[in-house]
Amino acid sequence: MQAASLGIPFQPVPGLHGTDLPATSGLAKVRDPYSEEDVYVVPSIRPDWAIVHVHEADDQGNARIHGSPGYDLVMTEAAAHVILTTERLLPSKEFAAHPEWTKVPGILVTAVVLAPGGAFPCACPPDYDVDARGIEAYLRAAGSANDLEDYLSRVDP
Amino acid sequence: MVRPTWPIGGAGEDVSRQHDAPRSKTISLAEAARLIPDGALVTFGGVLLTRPPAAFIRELARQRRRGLRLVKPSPAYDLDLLCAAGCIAEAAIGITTFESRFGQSRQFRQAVERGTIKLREHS
Repeated sequence: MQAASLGIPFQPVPGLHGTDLPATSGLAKVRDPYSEEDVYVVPSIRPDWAIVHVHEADDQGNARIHGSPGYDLVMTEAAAHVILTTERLLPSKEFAAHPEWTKVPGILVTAVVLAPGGAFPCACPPDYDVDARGIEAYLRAAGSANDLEDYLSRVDP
Repeated sequence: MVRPTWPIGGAGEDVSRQHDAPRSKTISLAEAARLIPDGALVTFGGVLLTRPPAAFIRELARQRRRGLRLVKPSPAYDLDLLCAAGCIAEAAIGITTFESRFGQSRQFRQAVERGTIKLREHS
């Protein structure tokens, strides 16, 4: 996805020599034209859709993520289309006033969904932590089709 | 002096309406999930139990999406739930676990063991 975010067909990856990973993952090698050493390359992956939960967005899809963005920014740049779910909707003028806080530019975004608590039962720091009882409720329900259906019908408002 | 001719709006024409606020992109959770077709290659934000789009994942499961192919370095609840609901055909991942006291990702593991999903694991 890093390669797709940059619009390049593959990405050199260091640190794989001497492991079985290139063989099990079917990775190709190319000759580095500068050092003339072989380097493993992974192919570009361009998802059809990236769906990312953010803290704040406006109705154009400009978005802020507080704390670590993880891989989310690469995902939004790599994917063909992006959907954001957001804890809060803010007016666009808030984003215009602080453009340096915008992590996802709206030009990449197809749709925005207001979903307060949208990461529950997982964490959305600093707003809320993992909800242990919420995770356990899922784990109890997940093994049976009926229980899972019941879980899905009652967990969201 | 020659007045420049702009692509939009002639001289003296009020062009302020060209700058009206663009149309809102906000839609409902159900409408957003319907944008994802069966068989789509998808990726979800967040790392393990931090900030996945969990409400969206559940809506995909309620809509009984099928054949999804997930690529994500470190899924957890999202991949496990979609495996439990039969939505996933293929997963390309680095690591998946519920972490700490919650243990392994059991529905994902069972789907791999039963051969109902194809796994490409890159850790």
